[in-house]
Amino acid sequence: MDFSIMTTENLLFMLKSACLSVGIAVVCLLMGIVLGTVTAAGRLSKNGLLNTVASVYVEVFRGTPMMMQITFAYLALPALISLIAGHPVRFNPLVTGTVAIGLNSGAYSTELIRSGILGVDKGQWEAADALGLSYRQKMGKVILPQAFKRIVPPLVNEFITLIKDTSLLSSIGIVELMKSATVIGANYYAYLPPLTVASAIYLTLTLTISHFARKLERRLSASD
Amino acid sequence: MIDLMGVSKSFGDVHAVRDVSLHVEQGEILCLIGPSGSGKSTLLRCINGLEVPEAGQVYVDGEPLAFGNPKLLQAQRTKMGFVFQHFHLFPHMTVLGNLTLAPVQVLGMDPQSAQNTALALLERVGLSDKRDVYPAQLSGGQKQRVAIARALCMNPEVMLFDEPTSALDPEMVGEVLDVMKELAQEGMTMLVVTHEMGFAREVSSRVLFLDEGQIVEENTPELLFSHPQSPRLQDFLSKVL
Repeated sequence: MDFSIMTTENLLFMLKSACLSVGIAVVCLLMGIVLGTVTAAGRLSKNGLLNTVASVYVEVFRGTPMMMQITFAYLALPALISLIAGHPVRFNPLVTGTVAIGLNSGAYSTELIRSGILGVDKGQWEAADALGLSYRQKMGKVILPQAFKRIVPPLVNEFITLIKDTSLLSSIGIVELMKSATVIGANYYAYLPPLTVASAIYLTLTLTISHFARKLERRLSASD
Repeated sequence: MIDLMGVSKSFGDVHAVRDVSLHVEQGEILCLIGPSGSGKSTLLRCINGLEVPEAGQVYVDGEPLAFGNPKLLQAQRTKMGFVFQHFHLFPHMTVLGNLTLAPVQVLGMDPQSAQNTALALLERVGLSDKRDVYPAQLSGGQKQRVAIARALCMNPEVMLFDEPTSALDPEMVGEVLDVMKELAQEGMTMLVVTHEMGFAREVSSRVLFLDEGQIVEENTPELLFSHPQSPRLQDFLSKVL
């Protein structure tokens, strides 16, 4: 196996692409947390319409492949909007791909956040009610801070998943880590070295994050 | 001060409370006794709206509990302190944090005077030294005394106790009952669901005996305990005394 093609220049190219992968994953995670919190509130609400909208969103995004969602958003959605707008529309691949993964992550985060909230002891809700706290105060001061501890560890796992999932964006031409490896491979007609290096970078990223996740988890459970 | 008119509540097929009416005067100390499953806790929880009665109405200071109006219901609840069997302190806050949360958030007290009130109440329940401790570090009896202080911080007109000593180790029951006796002596209106017959006999102005969701008998503690009229109360007392 000849790793001489992995020049400093090529390695730097891959590291830069890895940064893009992580960057996209961070944005998607944050999008997912915001969306997931809103949708979890919808799923927990007694309002039938909110509940249905939230449930449909979660089921659609969890029930179809992420690859399909990304491709749909990039290739099919612009066609649909062109039809409605009456003139051709093109989507920016980076923005489209990021939003697609963010929406997908939101669906999964919804369930994480919902079960974290439902996991808080019923007595805590009642104690807050009995003291006359409003719904907003009860959630903000009593329930969410306790749910947070249960939600953080699975959210870190979600982040790891997202880093791996960003590789799907190579299919719509975004030069993230996966794409950078295939580009180098195509240049030299040698895929083994760049794909091996890319895999090693993915593994380093995910192992590092799960290491810190375990530390965080230990610290969060320490105050119990 | 508190009136119940034909209150009923069931869970599925179980009729926990059946058509109960009750009038409580200011300063009264009511003990609710009865076998488990007799509906006494459910009745108490209906009074501050933790359970929504399916029939009948609860009046606080002559005003019906506003189940359809969350804002008004919250305001009505601040008049009633509620103490749970399992304390339900907020585990992520210190003792002081537990005490000052609602006064600051709900009553809009400024944090400094809320803290002063809280410290005074902690002293009253004998836990001044625990102000910065988290609930997990307290014993059961200490937790319940903090929970009582937390309810008192809202300066309620009436205190509702739902089996406040049932989850405690025997040696900790006394310290909680002492705090409650002191409250009673100060003239607080109290409704207490309890299995502590000694407390009911010593402190209450009126004892209600509930069975199968209904008030079967009510009387002063002297008469109720020494001359029980109904066979069900006689049977109950023979088992617990």
